[in-house]
Amino acid sequence: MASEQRQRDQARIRTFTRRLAYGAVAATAVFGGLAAVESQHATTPTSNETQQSDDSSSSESFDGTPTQSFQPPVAQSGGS
Amino acid sequence: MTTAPAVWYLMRATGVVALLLTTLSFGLGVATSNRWYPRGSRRWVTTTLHRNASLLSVVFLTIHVGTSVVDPDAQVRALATFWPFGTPWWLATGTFSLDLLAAVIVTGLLRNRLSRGLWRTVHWTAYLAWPLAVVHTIGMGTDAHTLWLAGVTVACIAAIGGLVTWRLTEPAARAGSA
Repeated sequence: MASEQRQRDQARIRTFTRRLAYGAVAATAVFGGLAAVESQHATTPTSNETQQSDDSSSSESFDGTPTQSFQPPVAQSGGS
Repeated sequence: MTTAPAVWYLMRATGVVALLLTTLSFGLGVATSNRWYPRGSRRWVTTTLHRNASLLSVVFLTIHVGTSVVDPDAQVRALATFWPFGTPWWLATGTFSLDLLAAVIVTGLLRNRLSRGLWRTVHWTAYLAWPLAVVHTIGMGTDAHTLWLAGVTVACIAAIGGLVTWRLTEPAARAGSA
């Protein structure tokens, strides 16, 4: 009786822990995606900025679309 | 220059997940101290869930810290991962939080060799790791200004606020009450 209860409890713990681990990995992917999107927003110029950029540096790809140089993300505050 | 933006994104994502897992661990710790356990289970279930959530949070925290050192854009020196002094304030809060969690792990492993009083003192002191982690997230997080991270942070604070209120207002809850 007590043994069955214990096995049930252990099964519950295993299930919870497994789901938690999978969920954490999935959440990492989601938050990583959100961080990437956020970084893209931060580095993508607006249409006006693109126009001005084209006027000054004329960096266009072969199909006429402005190329976007990758800017590395910068930490808001860094270590020592 | 960044060597791999993926590392940068991984660091940010694991930081958020580590906060969520630490919040869950903290919450289960409060539940344990209030003698709560899931309906139809025994009391040790909550303690084991608390321990498993803590270990999982340490895994993600390790990845978070490791990637912050590897990624040159983060500008975090290896020393700053365990020595908070002489580092920017926001980074130091994360380092303090990590040190407290490390103390819990070490004393947890040595639990049979330590007095119960000492173990409890270290364990309860380690609960400071959570507010420090929240401060670190708000101050250090590159995504701190984004709506999604603000939502995650507010949800964590609300959850812990509710649990601590429950702990203080209803000490030693009835066994098995949900």
